[in-house]
Amino acid sequence: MTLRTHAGPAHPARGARAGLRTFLGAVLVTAAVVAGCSPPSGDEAADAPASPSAATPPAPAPLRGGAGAASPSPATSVPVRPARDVPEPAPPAPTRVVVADLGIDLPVEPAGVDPDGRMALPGSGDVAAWYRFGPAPASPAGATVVAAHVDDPDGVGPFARLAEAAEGTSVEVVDATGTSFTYTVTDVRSIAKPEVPLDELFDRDGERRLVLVTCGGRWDPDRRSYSDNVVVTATPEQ
Amino acid sequence: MHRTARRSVAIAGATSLVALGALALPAQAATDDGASLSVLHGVPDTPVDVWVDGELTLDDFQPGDLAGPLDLPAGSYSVAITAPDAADASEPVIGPVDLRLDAGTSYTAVAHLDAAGAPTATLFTNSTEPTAAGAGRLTVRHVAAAPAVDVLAGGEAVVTSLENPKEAVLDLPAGTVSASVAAAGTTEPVLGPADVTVAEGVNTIAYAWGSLEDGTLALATQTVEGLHSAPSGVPAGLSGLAAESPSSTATGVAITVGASLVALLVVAASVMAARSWREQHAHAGRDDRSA
Repeated sequence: MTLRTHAGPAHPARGARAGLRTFLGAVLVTAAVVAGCSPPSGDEAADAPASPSAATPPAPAPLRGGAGAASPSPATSVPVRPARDVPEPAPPAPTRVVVADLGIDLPVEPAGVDPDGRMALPGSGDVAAWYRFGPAPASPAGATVVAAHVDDPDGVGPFARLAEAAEGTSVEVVDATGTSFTYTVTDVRSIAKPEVPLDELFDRDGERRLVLVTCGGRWDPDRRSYSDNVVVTATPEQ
Repeated sequence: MHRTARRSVAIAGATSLVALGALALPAQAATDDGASLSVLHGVPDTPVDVWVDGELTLDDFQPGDLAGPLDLPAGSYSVAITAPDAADASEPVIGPVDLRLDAGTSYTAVAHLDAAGAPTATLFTNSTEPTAAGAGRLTVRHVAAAPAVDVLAGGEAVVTSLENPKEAVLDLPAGTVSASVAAAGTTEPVLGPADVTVAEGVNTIAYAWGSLEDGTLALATQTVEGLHSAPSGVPAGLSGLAAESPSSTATGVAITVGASLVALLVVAASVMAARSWREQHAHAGRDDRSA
């Protein structure tokens, strides 16, 4: 826990953003029409990169059903807010993970990254870690990542049994508000570490899902590291 | 005024070309084929109208307000800023300035005072290069009528001699920074201290705007999200014990116990074998004697 700081993850208000995009479409058309009529000045053209969209402005489109442009009010209202942006508050952290079929029932702690930029896990296989910069179960999108050591100096940890998980296995996660989320395992894979699709594992934008991670494969005593990650993906139960 | 703004835009344009070249992966902050533009009003006390290519785009835009982000096709746009009751863009108080916006790039156009207090406009390119896992980005922009400043975080100067209209960009571990602004070379805050949250994977842009002389210095913040990167791995094993025991602690114990039993049996068997050998030889001796 070298990087225990105050800020939580920032999750853009995606719904709001999507709405903004939709209505900005109208503004864009307006801007594009007028931009097409005013070529850039000479010195800018010299600086300009060969951008296809700049060279070929979008085709003009009808604007506001023929209404006159004389009235001094905006064609479309652009969203305006006081310039006091703050990150979205962090979602409630998961506090417990249960895979009853495998006899797994572990407390979950928030975790960041170690000095090498890897996910930082607690020093025991009996405590799981939640990647606190990414989504949580209550987040509207993306992967909630919960990882635990497959073993520690005291023995083999409960997450070692993840390799036995089957499709359809039920997983329960409880978050800090006491809300329980039930997931169903859809995929169990052991992946050589260099091949692990980390961007996909830690995805913040795709469908809501739970990703449980531990280690597996061969133990390299020199590097004190396993050859594989065992990755269990589960989707919210409908 | 016009000249100043044009020069700033030209500089910003050149900067954006460099930034574009460095952008291997376009962040969600700007779309692949479009540019993202926000507009900040940083001229104190004066609501304005903003005209883009002669079209009224922002009506009665208030100081300290931030508009956008607008997702615009790449290209050049003429922006003029007028008094709030203007009938058209023919008598701008700032501009018109030509903004060249490149695809996949995030911009903020700022209407503000120059160091001497005259209204001007600057187009800034917002860094959307990926941040390291666990890190956030802090961008500090000096758009106030004030001399060069230092930016202090936790009492220590992290940016020195920042001049209007320049910026400094720092990548920091995600967290909250207590930031203040002081005249260059001093530590007495003219603005702040204020808590600025540097969120993971987010470019938090802090603007010092207003006028030092008029006592209107203020802090504005803007965030550009989606710069995050995944951790570089998940090291989830500490001892190697799981490599020998395929599934569980119970199995591990069973194997250990099993191995011990085998060892015990081997020992027992050896002892018994040795004993029976001795006994056989003993019998043989007796037999010999009795024979």
